Parts: sequence; structure tokens; C-alpha cells
Amino acid sequence: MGLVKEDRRRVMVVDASQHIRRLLRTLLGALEIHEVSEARDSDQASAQMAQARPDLIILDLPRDTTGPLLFVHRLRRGEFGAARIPVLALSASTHHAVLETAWETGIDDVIAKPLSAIDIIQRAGWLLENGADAPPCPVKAAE
Amino acid sequence: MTEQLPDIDPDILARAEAALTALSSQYPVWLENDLAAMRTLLQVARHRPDDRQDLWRELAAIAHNVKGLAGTFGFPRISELAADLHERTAAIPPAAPADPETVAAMIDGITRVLKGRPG
Repeated sequence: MGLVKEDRRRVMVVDASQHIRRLLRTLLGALEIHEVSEARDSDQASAQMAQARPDLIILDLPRDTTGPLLFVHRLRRGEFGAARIPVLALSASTHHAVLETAWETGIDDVIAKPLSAIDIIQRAGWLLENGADAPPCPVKAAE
Repeated sequence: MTEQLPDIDPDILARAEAALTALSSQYPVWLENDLAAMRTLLQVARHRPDDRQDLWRELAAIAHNVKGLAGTFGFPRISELAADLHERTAAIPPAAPADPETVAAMIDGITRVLKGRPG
């Protein structure tokens, strides 16, 4: 199957690390996604939403999740326009409390750090293909 | 749930692997930049003990990114050392802030591994 064949998909990457933003931009290029906007944090992301109009948001969840989760909450309330833009979070913690909070806030999927290129491509591709009407995102079958 | 994510088109995977390989060759330069930034924070912390908590928080954020990216780019030992440094500097009060010499030794440890002189 091919992941993401539609042209001109737009992705916003929100991460404080310039290196991680560059890594994600590069991997998205493999999916032939070249319209990538970048934000250092959720405040900057909020300011860019109207112009960027992303089809997918890839969002870092740092130790202090307050800002990113508030951003997703505002997104789901429709404060930035389309309320059902899929959100893929990156987190160093996969503690169940972090994951539960992420789901409850409206994050569609969480990738654990350190980042795997295959994970990013699969999950970003899945969310871009299924978009606002995405069924529950599948997970890898247990080994 | 048992549904599996879709397989990746081999062409996409090949492009991603090529891109990742190209980036991996640049990673040591990125890491040098991160180490330089951490050394700068360390120097400031030596002279401004009252600000150490904030400075360590900044340093911990860099160490956290090094931990993640080093793992992604295939530098597992550096990732482990960065995780230790992050844990030491991200200590939340009332834990005692790390002392600068400990932090310096941990940054030097990462540098030695990067230069191929582990230990």
C-alpha cells in the first residue's frame, strides 16, 4: 500500500528542538510531504495555525505537558478553525497516566521516544490518510 | 487491539532510510552544538549558584533531546549518558541541585564517547 499519495498535504511540527524538527521534516519528505511548518512551542503553533492550515500536527509532549495539552484542547474546541485535525504526539513517557491524559485531551496517537523512523512514517501516514474521519488508530499486534 | 498498522511501501521506506542515513552523518555536528550549549550553561552555573536551578532545567532539556536523538541515530551509549545527565539535572526540589563538577564530568563523558575515547 502507499501511504499519503495526495499532493500538497500540510503538516505542522511542534518541538523545541531544531534537530528534531529537522528530523521530522526529513522523514515527512519520504512521504512526499514538503509543506511542513515548524513551531518551537504550542504558543508559536497557536499563532501559526490560521496560516499553516495543517492536515496533521506532530506535537512534542515535554515533561510539563500543560502548554501542549492546552493547545490540543483549544484545537478540539475549534478555536483555530477545523477542530478535527489529527494530532500525533511524541513523548518520552509512555506511562499510562500520560497516555490517558493524551487520549482524553483529544490526541490521536502517541509515539514514544527515542523516535523510530518507521513508527513516524506509519503513524503520520495513517493519520494523514484517514484524517478527520479516522477510525480508532490501529496499534502494532503484540509480538 | 490486534489490528496491525499498514505495511510501508518499499519505495517510501527506502527514501526514509536514505534520508535518515544522510542525517545520521550530520548528527555528530548537531551533538557538538548541543555539547557546546550545555558547556555554556555549565560555565554560567559555576558563577551564578543562585540561578543553578533554572540553568540546570535548561541543560536538562538539551540532555533530554540528546538522549532521544542519539538513540534515533544509533548512538546508544551517548543516549544512555545523556539520560543520566538529564536525570541528574532535572532533579525537582527538594532534591539537591547537581554540583557543577558532576555535571562537567558527565558532559565530558559524552564528549569522550563522541570522540571515540569511551571511559
